[in-house]
Amino acid sequence: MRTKSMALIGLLVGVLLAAVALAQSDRQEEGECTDEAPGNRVECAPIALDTFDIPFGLLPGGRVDADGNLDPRSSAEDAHAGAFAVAEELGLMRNFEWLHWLPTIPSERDTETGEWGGGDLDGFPTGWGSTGLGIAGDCLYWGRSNSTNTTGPGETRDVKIFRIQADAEKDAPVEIGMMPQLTTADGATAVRDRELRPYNYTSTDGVERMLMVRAAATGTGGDVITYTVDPETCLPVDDGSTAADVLAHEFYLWHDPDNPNRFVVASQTYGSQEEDLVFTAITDEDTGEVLEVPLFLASFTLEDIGGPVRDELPDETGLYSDGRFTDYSHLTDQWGRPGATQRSQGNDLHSGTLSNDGERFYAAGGTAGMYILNTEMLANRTNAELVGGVACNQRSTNVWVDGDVGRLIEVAKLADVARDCVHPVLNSDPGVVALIASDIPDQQKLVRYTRLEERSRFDFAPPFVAAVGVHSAIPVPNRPALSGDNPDGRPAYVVITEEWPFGPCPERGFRILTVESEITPMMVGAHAMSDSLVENCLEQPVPAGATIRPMMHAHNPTVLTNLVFVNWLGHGIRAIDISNPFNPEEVGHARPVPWGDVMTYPDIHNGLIYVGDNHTGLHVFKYIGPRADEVPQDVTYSSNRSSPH
Amino acid sequence: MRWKSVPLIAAMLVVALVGAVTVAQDHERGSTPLFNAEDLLFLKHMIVHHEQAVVMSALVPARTDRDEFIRFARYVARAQAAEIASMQSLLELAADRGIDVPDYHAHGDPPMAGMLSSAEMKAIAAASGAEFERLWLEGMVYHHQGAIDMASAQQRQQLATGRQPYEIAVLVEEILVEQRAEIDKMRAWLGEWGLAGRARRSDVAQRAE
Repeated sequence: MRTKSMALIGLLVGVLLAAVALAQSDRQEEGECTDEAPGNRVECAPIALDTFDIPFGLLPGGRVDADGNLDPRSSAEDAHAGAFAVAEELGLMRNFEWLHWLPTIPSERDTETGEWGGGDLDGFPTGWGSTGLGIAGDCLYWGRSNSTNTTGPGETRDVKIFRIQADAEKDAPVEIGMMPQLTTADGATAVRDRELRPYNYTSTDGVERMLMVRAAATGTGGDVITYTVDPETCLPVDDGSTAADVLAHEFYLWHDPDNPNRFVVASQTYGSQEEDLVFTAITDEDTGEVLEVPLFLASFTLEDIGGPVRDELPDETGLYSDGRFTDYSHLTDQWGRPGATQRSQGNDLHSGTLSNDGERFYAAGGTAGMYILNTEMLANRTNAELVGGVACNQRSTNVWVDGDVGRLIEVAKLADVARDCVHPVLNSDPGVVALIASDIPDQQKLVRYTRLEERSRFDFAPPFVAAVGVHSAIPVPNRPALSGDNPDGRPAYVVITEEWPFGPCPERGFRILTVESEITPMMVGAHAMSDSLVENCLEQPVPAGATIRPMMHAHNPTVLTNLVFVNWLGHGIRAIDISNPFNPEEVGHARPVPWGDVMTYPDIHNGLIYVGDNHTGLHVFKYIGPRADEVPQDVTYSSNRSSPH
Repeated sequence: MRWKSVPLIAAMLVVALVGAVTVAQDHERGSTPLFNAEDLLFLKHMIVHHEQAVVMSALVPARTDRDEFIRFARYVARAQAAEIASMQSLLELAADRGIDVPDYHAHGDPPMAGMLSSAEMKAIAAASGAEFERLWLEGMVYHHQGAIDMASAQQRQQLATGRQPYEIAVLVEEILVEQRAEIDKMRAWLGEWGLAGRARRSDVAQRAE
């Protein structure tokens, strides 16, 4: 009976597969597969428009053998080789060459089962949240976080320091040192190296210098610590200087083009403290040496100047002050998780970019959207002038009656906002300044101002259900605005990404905004994976061997003039042609194996792209697709610090 | 059908078999409960715990002149209120999914370790100026440490069971981070404002009685 049933099932499966194969064969002949090279399935993989859909049902979520099949007992050599084999077989690289994979967390073998686990070769989620990667000169820092969520208390993962080799395409980076991971006072919890930004510079006295800024935290916000580094050895020479009262979730490292001694850190606090954004001088502007005590220069808080309040809760019907969110919580994905729903609206500043001239800050304002800050005072005054508080108000003006945020705005105070060292471009717009100074009734002023304020932020939440909202905001370089109202030729476009950590369905993508009118940013183009459609996200298969679902939203982008590399976490790295910002087009993808979180910013060094994956370690790629000539050669380039450098 | 379809058929067979295994695994995953009883009890406890922080924060504006302290209290109150809303909605979600949510009624004084007693709360409410600042900051440091202990216990439970419960895992990490940083800030203020070392938090209850 059993044999008969098996035969019957086998026959049915055979017939079914033959039918599918024939259909597939016919489709090939109709030209849907544009590349019939043996073994190349890239062009035949399911696609949605121009976007590569990872075959999640086939993707290994754990350690593989030499043939690319899941095998927790395989040797390290086989696991390494098999990853490359299966990546090729599944078409996981298009227009990227996967040059090097450096697993940096060792695996441990279970003596009873013989199975390996807990390491990068196993795709183990060692770094549960953000992790830092940074390159300066030929020094590479990989701040592999650990998280007590996966590794347990007491485990530390030190920052690994690598030397990039002269023939970086042929030779993988070589580990040359480490910086100990910090721990909290209880010693049991490692302090994650969320962000690492090294930088080489020559101070005005002619000395070749190097510094490295580290944001170290167990999660949302971290201490900002600046080290002096020996550029020859890549090793720090001191214990670092910590900026007081600053907790950075992310930060931007700005090098003053008019004073090579001057570095400023713009820390985005993302709800970890009262201020949204804190600017700190980390070097002596006269000598270029790292300051023992960093200087507070200025801060900005959106809600203080009349913006949306933080941590807003809805009314009993679910209505927020700016609208109503979609709700997918009644749905369930293949992991058994409910769809996304909105519980509160943080409106916290998540990240951002200072323009190279320092006069603009492009704010990734979370659920408050993307907006632009005027930082001309910060850029064009000295640290000494700013610290003295004479040049401008160091902190945002609180415009609320009696300082009671979220109640009534005191119209007369709006004029003061333009005197804050850091303020929205809206508040120093000549028309707005005139409006506030005019003699029309306050009520009328407030109505007009409120409309303008809301339009000055590109804010898609609501309706899109969003935990973080806008994650990154990077201006597109070398594409100045041509509008007559933007005579200084500031950037015409900004790329933004959207985050939901370990987010439920649907997932979140990438948008391009025009900012030719700086006070009225507007979306012109977008790019998304298929799981931005909730129905696709819900049906997305679970890769065999995966222990958790990595994050899957568009995360950190490195933006060139016509090309963007986006570390899209579980979707790998994506190359997107933005030559027509109204119609961005995916032109390459790279998804290393096993499945993981490609989390860091892509750092470009001498034409190669370095990324960190929280599950699998460090990877080096070469982009060979359209517009590859734009990839900077002979420099380091990243979108989280003044670049190139 | 051409010969080149033969390897295609073989490949499709492999794909189908792997797919079948995956579907079976998916089915098993889908049947895994979203939360276990410990997760839900953690949410219940943490809601009660957070509510006391909101009450404490409401005392600040009328009892101190320090702007930074008032701002901090406002920030703490709103952050914790948002987390309460999030935790309540997770409990509602569990109930909607047919998961039994355990009853929990706070009792005792204090209702749980890491909270202040009613006498301690009364003493803080009765104080003003520097005395209020010291009692409040010491009380909130103790209170935050209680939240950290609870979150750490939840994280250990997650590790032991190899689970990352939906949204709770992220919440736990946020609590660990935010409240550690806030403890550092409050301890720094105790020193900067000349309030440290005058008395221990346990003295508050004795005086209140």
